[in-house]
Formats: sequence, structure tokens, C-alpha cells
Amino acid sequence: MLDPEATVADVGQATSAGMAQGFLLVRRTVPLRETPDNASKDVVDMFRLDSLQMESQPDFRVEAADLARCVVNDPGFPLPSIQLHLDGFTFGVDEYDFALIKEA
Amino acid sequence: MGIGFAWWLWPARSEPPVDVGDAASPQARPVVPIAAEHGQDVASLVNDPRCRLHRGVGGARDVGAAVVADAAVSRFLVFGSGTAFAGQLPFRIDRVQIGRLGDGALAAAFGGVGDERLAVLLNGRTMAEERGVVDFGLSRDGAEWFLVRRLSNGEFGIEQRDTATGAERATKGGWLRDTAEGLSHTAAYSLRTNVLIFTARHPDDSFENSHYLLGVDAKVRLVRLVRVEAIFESEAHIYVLQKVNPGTHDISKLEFRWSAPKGEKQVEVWSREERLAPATVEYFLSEDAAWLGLFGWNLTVLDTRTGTPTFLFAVRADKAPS
Repeated sequence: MLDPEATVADVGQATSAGMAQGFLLVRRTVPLRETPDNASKDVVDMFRLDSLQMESQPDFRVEAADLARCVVNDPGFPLPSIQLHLDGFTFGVDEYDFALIKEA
Repeated sequence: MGIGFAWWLWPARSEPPVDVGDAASPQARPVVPIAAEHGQDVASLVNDPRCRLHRGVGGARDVGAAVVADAAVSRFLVFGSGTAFAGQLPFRIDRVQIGRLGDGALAAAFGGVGDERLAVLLNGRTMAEERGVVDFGLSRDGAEWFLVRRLSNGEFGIEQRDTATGAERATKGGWLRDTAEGLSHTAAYSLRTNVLIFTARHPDDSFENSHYLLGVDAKVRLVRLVRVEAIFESEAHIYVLQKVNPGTHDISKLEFRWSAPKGEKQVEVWSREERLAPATVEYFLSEDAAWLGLFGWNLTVLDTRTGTPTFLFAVRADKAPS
């Protein structure tokens, strides 16, 4: 599980970053605690640009497993696209989430 | 700050844009529907492991496209709150751009760069299909698009067209005399305006990039930048990065005033030095051009009005400079 005390400055290497639709997005690999094999998982921290400050904490943190299959299977992982395809988030683009795409 | 540049007027060979009124593109026709053997429902497309998603920009930021690309035929779905249009194209789609015109119509440009193919669609109608395309782009408002072809003499030709009518807005070919073999190029609209920037990167040791600006006025404008990377917010505002020594970069915002007298055309709005990375730095502008992100040892975000750092994300503590 993710360290509940984790902050934006905790360990974990950022692998890509981008901006899209009012958000700063940072994808990084975070080591997991309580695992014997140094396992890690990818998360995406999302910061609202309109309230960005030096000490800002992520407004959303998303695990790669929560992303729609269509994106996860994309080896290029197009960061600017992810906010279109999140499951369970409602920050203004919820009408475009994966479930509704399938229902379209 | 040591950035070399030059600018001057370059004679344009194109004729002025032609007003063709409401005439539709002669090539316009309904898009070919997805063949039944592929499964025409949305789920069969989105659940395909090869599916890739693309999003619109500007007025089409609430629109996406799902594409399953194949060598013989690619299937696509353009969607907003529901399916806008779907179909298939006879080449491998590897790039998609989406825009929304002022009247609400949705434009989509599907490119197969490997196959040098391009199709431009408007509300589900194919407005143009082109071959021999090495680069293309759709403007943010979807109202126009361009393509780049390699000419028989090795030079590049650029065509700009109106999306709704197919009318040619400008064609320029053979004027890029310095685009010799080995010269790489990029072409794209600026972030905020429909000015097209054709950038030629010189292969020699000059580290000089020539940025040809089309659409500022009747002339083709040229900005030459030496040893820098540039982001064009518009024809007026350009952000440049220059490595000044290992680990340190100079970041500047330049303002170009094209109608000003010679010697007053360029103003430096701000400039600052940042410890970013030993070599390569990724950089990106927000859609409203209010924020400039710099991704190296750390992720730094600057306020583009002042150049002031607004946010710092420690990418990896053991790699960051002390």
C-alpha cells in the first residue's frame, strides 16, 4: 500500500510530466512498503494550475491501475490524455470517463 | 544573455487567400463506416488492446478520439458526451488532431506519418485525403490545416487549407533553399494563434534553427535562434532555453513587435537562470500559456508573466543538485 504519510517530496522517481486542461501532471514510480521484493507502483499526481503554489500538495493522486485499459495499454502513456479517461474522478471531465465512453 | 538571433522579411510567393464563400470542398464525402467484421459497437473499439486515445485542444478540449490502427485499415471514434462520428481509413493512423470550429463543427485530422497519408474530416465528412505528407497540423480552432510535402528536388513544400471549404489559403514551395539533405524540420501552429511555424534545424555545427513564421501578415517572417530551444506561444511571444554551462540554463521570454522599426522589433520581457539538468530539459507550456514547466533534475513551474518560480517538485532527491 502507499505510505499514507507520503508527500510530493517523498522518494520515487518522476518519469514524465506534462500540463493539460488546467492541471500539472507528474507520473512517478513509488516504492511500496511492506513488500519483500521492493515492489513499486506508478502513480500520477495532479495539481490544479490555478491554485499552484510552492508548497502545493496534489489535488488528485491516481494509480495507474485506475486508468482505463485503453491508456494503460499504450506504451507511450500520453499524459495529456489521462484526465479524459480516469475512472471515479469528477473534476469537470467526468462525462468523458471510460464508463461513459463505453456507453456512448 | 548571449542568444543569437536575426529576423527579416522573406518574400512570400503565395497569392492572397481566396474567398470561396460557402462552397464545400469538392472532395467532401461521408466517411467510410466501420466494416461489420470488426464490430461496429463502441466497446469493440475501446476494449481492443491496441486502442489509443487522443484528445482535442482549445475549443475541442472536451472531445476525444479512440483509434485502433492497423496497416490495412484503422478504425476510429470521435466522441464528446456521445459519439460524434466514427469510421475507418485505409492506412495506419499514428497521429490525430481535433478542433472545434466557431460554429461548433468538429474537425479531425488523421495522419499516417509512416504511410505519408492524411485525412481531414469535418462532422463525419471526409474533406480531404492526401498522400506524400511528411507532416501536418490542425489549427487550435479547427478552421484551417496544413501539410508538408517533400518536393522532388529535396526541398519542402507547405500547403494551408480552409477546413470547411477546402480552399487553399497558401502554398509555398521551393523557397526553403537551405533545406538541404540532412536538415530536419518540425512544423506546427503556435500555441495561441493560427500562425504556422516551420522550423529547420541545421545539421552543421552552427546549432542554428531557422523558424519561418507563416500567417503573421502577407510576408513570411524568419526568426533565427542559435543554441537555443524555442516555444512559440504566438508570433509575438517566444520562450527560449539556452544551456549556459553544465547544469545551468538561461530561460527567457521574448516579445516580437513585427511592425516596429528595425532595431526595436525584439524586447526581452524577462530572463532568469535555473539549475535544471546536465543536458536535456523537457519543457511545456500550459494551454493558456500562463505556466511554463521545466522538467530536469526537478520539475519547476514558472509564471510566464514574470518568470517567477511558482512551484518546485523534487523529482528525485539523490539526483538533484545541492
